[in-house]
Amino acid sequence: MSRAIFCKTLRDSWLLIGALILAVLVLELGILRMLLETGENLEHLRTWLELPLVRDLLQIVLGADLVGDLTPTTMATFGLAHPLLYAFAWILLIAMSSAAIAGEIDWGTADWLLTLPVSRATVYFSTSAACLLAAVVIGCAPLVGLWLGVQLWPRAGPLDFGRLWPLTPNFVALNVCVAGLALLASSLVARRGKAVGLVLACLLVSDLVNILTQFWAVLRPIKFLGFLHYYRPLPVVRSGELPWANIAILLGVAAIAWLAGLRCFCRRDIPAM
Amino acid sequence: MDAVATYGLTKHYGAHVALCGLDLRVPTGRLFGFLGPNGAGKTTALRLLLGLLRPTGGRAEVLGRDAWRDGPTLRAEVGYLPGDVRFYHWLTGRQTLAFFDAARGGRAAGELNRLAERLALDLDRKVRDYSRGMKQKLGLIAALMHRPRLLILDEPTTSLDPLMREALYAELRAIVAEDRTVLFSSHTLAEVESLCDEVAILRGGRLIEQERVSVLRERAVRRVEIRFQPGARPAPSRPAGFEVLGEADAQWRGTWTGPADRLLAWLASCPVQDVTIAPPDLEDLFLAYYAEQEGRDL
Repeated sequence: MSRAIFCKTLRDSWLLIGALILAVLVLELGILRMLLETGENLEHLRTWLELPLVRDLLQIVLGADLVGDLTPTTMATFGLAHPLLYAFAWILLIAMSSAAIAGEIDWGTADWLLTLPVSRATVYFSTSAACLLAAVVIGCAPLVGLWLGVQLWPRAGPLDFGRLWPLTPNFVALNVCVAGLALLASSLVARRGKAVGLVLACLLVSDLVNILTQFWAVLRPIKFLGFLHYYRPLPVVRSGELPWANIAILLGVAAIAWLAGLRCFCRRDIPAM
Repeated sequence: MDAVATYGLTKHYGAHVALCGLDLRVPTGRLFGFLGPNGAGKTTALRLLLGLLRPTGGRAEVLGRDAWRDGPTLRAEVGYLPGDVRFYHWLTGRQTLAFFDAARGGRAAGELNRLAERLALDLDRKVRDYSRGMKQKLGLIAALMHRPRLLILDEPTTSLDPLMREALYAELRAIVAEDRTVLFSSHTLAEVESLCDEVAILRGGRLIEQERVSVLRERAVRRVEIRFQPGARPAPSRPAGFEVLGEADAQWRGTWTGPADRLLAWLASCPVQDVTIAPPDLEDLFLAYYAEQEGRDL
């Protein structure tokens, strides 16, 4: 691994990393604050949650039915599966991964980077390591946000962090999977926009699968194709156990995508832009 | 040992043949010019030498190593300036060079400062605030600062003012004096003519000539103007190699190809009032090469 390339990749993105981690923390605090206020009128909340469409949508987001199990801890899972959380985390990872290879070619700086006395594999390892670090840091941010919220507003708790923490490795694995796919897309094309488009298309299809299989039973057999099928916060919180199988599948997909990206990058031509 | 040797080096982009069976030898310690019109395959050849492109056929050796397989090792001893110089615009010049230096092992700080001073470049400004010429200077420093054994420059004098051009020429001559090698592509024939020991001419992806500049100069035409004494007539037979292009008022304009002594001997036998013999013009020779090939292509 090249320390210089690793540090450069992080330095190029530090502003984005900082801003998006802050955004995640604010999101978690906001959600906790909202839950604190709505929790004071639980019966009203229950009535609202029992509406069929809301119930289905929450089941898509949380991976299980929330009604009948309304505790501060289960309600806090909403903060770990909020669409904005995915947006913040994935913006960061897609931005970093697409900048690493396709971005360098697009900007015309790949000529400098790839004529340094390091192998392409080293360039790939170094940028991947920076993306992995970002995936871990932003993956831990939601739980940190919830913890901060409980410190700020103790009435929002008590949150059972013993049941919430297994979601962090699961969320990190989901992020690593997205980063792996983004690195693969970045290795395949010479335009950053194209790389971003490819990953977004992939995530969009995955999310569509997740939503459609909730509403149409006939599509259930393809449920396994959606990434979010392997990140279901509510069942994890209820069991309080690490979802090893889901983590393994997400990391497996990430590893396959990452290795495919490595192979493509090491063999491809670097065009003059 | 040759600094660069290619054996049937070929590159296809789909159906388009960018480079076809290039057999090139660049001896160590030479200032080697790489000439050709746009689309001749110069940049493709240079990128193949650097391992940025993978050959479709043949192979390239740089400093005795395979350009594709041994890329990381050999790139430690190669400096490269791309044709279109672009940098991380959010960094300063110094940060940019510090990154390259760190990735190369961090031993170039002294040389970096010397070159920045020589090329009069302010390294503490953001690259986004640099002019095109300043970016070119930054690129040159990045290519030169680790004192490479082989320097590959793709049109290095683009955007440089005449003063900086001279400074660069002096640097390149100093590099060659240390038995290091410079391979550079250019459109500017006069630059190649004044600077290079040897040139290769590429056209349509094929090498059409590789020769020492001194040999080419002998083959090149000289423009000649002869003014005869008023009322006098020149000798009726002209030596072979002298072609008259225009004749008016006892004045001839023409071209001479071949050793100058034969022309001088003939002139001595003529009633000449004044004569102008221009230096050998390689540009005409190169253009003839291009045209000849174009004719063949047609």
